[in-house]
Amino acid sequence: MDTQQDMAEAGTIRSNSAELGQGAELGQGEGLALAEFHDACGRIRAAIETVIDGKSEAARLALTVLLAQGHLLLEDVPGVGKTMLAKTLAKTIDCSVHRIQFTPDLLPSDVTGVSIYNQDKHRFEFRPGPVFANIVIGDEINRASAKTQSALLECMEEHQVTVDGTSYSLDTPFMVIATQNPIEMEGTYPLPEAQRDRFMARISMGYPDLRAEMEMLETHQSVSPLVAVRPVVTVDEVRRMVATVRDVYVSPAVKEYTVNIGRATRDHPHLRLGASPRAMLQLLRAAKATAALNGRDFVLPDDVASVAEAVLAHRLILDRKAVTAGEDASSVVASVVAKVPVGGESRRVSP
Amino acid sequence: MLERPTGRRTPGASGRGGSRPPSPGFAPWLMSTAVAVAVLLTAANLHGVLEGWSWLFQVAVTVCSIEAATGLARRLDWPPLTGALLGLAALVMSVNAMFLAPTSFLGIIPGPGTFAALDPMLEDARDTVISQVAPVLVNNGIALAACVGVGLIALLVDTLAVPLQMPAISGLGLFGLASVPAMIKPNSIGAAGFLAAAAGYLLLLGCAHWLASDGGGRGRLASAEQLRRASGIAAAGLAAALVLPLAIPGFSSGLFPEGSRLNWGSPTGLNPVVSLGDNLRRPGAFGRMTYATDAEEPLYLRSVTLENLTGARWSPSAFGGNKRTGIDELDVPGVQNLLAAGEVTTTRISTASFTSPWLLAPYAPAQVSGARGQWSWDPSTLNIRGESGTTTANQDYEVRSVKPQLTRDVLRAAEPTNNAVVDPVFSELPDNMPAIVTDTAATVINGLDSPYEQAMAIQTYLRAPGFVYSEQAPVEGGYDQSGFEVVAAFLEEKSGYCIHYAATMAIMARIAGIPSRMAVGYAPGRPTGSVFDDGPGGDLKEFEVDSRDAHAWPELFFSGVGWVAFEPTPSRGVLPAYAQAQTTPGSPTQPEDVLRPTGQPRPATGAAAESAESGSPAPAEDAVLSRQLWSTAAAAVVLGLLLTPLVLRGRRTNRRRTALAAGGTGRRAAVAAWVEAVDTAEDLGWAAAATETPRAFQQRLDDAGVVSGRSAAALSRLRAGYERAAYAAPETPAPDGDNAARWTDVETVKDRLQERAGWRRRLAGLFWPASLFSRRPSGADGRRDDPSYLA
Repeated sequence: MDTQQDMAEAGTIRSNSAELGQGAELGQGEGLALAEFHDACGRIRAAIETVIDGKSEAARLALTVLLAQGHLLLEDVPGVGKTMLAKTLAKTIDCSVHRIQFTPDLLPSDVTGVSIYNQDKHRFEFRPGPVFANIVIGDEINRASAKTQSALLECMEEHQVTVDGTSYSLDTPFMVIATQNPIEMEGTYPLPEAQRDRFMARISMGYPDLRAEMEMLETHQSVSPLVAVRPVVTVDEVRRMVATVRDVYVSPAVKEYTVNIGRATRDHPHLRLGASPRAMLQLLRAAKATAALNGRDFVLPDDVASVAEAVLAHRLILDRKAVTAGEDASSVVASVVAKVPVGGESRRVSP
Repeated sequence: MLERPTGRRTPGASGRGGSRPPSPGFAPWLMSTAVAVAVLLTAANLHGVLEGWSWLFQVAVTVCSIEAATGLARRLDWPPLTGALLGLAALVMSVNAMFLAPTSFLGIIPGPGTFAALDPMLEDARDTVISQVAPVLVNNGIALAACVGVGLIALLVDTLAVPLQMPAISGLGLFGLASVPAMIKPNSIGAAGFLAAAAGYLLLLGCAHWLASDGGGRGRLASAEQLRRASGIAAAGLAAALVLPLAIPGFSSGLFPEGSRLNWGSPTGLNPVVSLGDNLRRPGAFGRMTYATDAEEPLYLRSVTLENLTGARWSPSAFGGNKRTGIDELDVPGVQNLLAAGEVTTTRISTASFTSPWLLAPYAPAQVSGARGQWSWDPSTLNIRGESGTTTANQDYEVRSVKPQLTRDVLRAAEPTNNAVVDPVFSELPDNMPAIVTDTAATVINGLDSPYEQAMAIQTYLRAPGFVYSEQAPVEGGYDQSGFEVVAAFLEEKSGYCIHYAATMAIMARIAGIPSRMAVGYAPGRPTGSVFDDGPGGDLKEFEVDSRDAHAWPELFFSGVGWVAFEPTPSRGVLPAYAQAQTTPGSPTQPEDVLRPTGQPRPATGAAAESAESGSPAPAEDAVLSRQLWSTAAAAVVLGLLLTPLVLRGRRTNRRRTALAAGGTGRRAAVAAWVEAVDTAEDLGWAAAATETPRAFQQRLDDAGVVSGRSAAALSRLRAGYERAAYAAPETPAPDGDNAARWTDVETVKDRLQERAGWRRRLAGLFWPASLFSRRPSGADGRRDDPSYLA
């Protein structure tokens, strides 16, 4: 009786998770076994740590976002290694990496590519832009005009480029790692809130601690350690890792917990704009990746809580009063997480 | 289960050299204090056996010095036996200091004269016990006896609880102490007394347990499981103590067996008044005895008279100065004259099990034959008392008694008595008579000059319908009395039984100037139907009496006539012809004659008499009984309510444990185990917040040092099992680990938490488990627990 019911309920849960899943555009291959997965992650993180000292949390989050098939926004003051992190992550994977340096005069076609008339063949040919790569590093994304930004953001969301009526699919995996500088506002076009929503997570690097900074001075003196970084996983492995993450189980209790967090931000008195349903989707994906990174094939509320700030903070718009009161989005997310009750074991445990 | 330090001293090893860890300085004193408090709380119940509270100070001094001595011995790590001996010495010294100082060395050490001084005090104590009704007036002898008795109990409790390491058994000492007042006080010790004693006992247990588990004490460790079991047993015992009295006939109230309800053989009759009250309240008849008589009228059998009112209560007068031995011939002139005149009644009495130092006889006995043993008698009262241990038990004897032919006219002619004629003991009144007694007496006898008319007025007043006969109604502490305080209460309450009626009439008669005394004995019984034809003056008809016929009545002295019995108690006994009111049509205050010869159908009487005789007392008794029943039931309900959380929580734990033991699916077992651990933590004050994930909760306990080492590992295993059970995909294999190991983990965590909680939180967790009342909203139905694990 127990088993039958368990199975029946399990069926609905599986279909739920399929709906929640990333859909057909992602790799359909078999996922890696958890052990291999863990091993691969360990390699990537070790490689990153040879370059970025003392920022394992940021590295972990970057990896999480990669495995969750999201895009990453690195926001911090200049010189703390944003670009370095992006480049290192890209280099550890044996895949195509393009870098776009955003400037005010950058055009959408400089990102997506253009159709050029081939005089020999008497027809227009599409020349893919830098966005056609597995990992796209968008440096100083807020320096580009809104038009160019939106061209990139469409690619991010749709995983395709449409030029002259023809759609071109982007590679899988596809990840944009954008950096931006919050201090220097002169001549920048800040990302609109709606577009920031497309980034799965925003990470602030923060300054390294004393020991890490001293070590950094040592290792970065003569030659950049980035040169020594060799790819440690193949694209195919990354695809299978993504598939593993997709297969991570999410119990109804955790879904409910996730949704409750989202709803709490919408009702929060300090917020003008709460988290969107897309944000919920991405929060859960990030949580799944976190669970997989921690060697589990199921998500805990702790996973959700641990990525909530990175995933949600940049999407929220604070009330003016809250801003003057010294609140910021991170503290609001923390207070929301602290207030949402954790679901216990789901009812499927009951007989 | 717990990480306990090993190599702790065993009880036997304590005090005998070697390398012992130093015991904390306060521990010996704590146990001593606990014992002293427990004993004193229990001893407080002696209030009501002993008059007032003055004795308590002396008892407290004794107990405290004993406990100080034993505590000191423990503090100095002397062998256990030394502590007891030191306590005994402290007992002797403190008693010496308080009672026998003049004959002692330095005021505390017994000297050669001490024993000589002790003798009269013990004599005092014995006399008090024999002649007084509880609460007895405290004289030096009684106080000394109380101090020694309670002191010895304290010593016993202390020895059991500390050196012998059996604090639970030490309750026997307390029980013994509590049972003394429980037996003696007519209404037992009452709920408050019981609770005080129980609180003392629990304090003792708690301290002992705390010291044992905290490492402060010495010796055996009681585990938390033992404490739980002990509290379970205690709760069950308490509940049984509350419920049993409801089920056992003979208990009318109370938490303790009541002295008056215990049928331990026949009455000893040492104290006539106590025996009487007890006899009347006994649920069934017992102590049957028979007598055969040729008297024409129903016969009262008199045991003893009480005439001494100096002690603020009635007691037999000292049986000393004019004692005469030999009862073959009681040669008082008046009696012998009547004997010569042939006014003789022959009565053969067979006492069976009735035991009393006073010989039962009809008034006025002239010759007694056939009684074994040594007897002496007092000419002023004609009380016959056994000498050197002679009692009435199993005596068959014949009494030839005389009875003057009394008529109203003879009595009416009697002049007010000259005080010189009778012994002053018969007319003494205490100075501080309550106003209500004197006022009532004055009102009743107002305008009446002749002693007979005054006596009749008093009797009529008491027999009026305003007074209700009840053996139960006013049995508050000390009401089994006949002193003027009780008489005042009786006049206020207008409800009581023969002792109160008789005492009231006797006191009011003395106020009116008529010498009086109270007679105690048996009212006329029921004819058995047997007739003996070998009597000297004709056939002897046999009657039987038993405990229900125990009775008291007043005897008033009329000058020129002698002692005359009256019957102020309605519905009991027989109203003699001379004492019957003349029915005068115009006087509504005089009730109709409601008396009937016993054993005959009662003639129809007026409504007033009906209510006086049988209508009112029954409802009154019922009301009292039902009130007691209700209060007991209410107490049981309150206690039940108090214990409900404990029981429910225990059931929940049991359910989870059995679910695990029954080998439920790994998933359910893991959930149950974790939830039990979390609930226990909540009970003990570490509640998991609703917003806290299991990991965060475990982390918090870990960081706070609440769990560590093995318990932290156990909690971590439980948490991991729960997470897998609660959040993993249903088709994944069930969490690892067998259920027995899981429950062991739960126990490990529980023990650790309890160890960390401190006794206050442990106690709160036991009786008010917070987890029972918290409902963390989660899941669609707001339940965090599997329904099958919820009680």
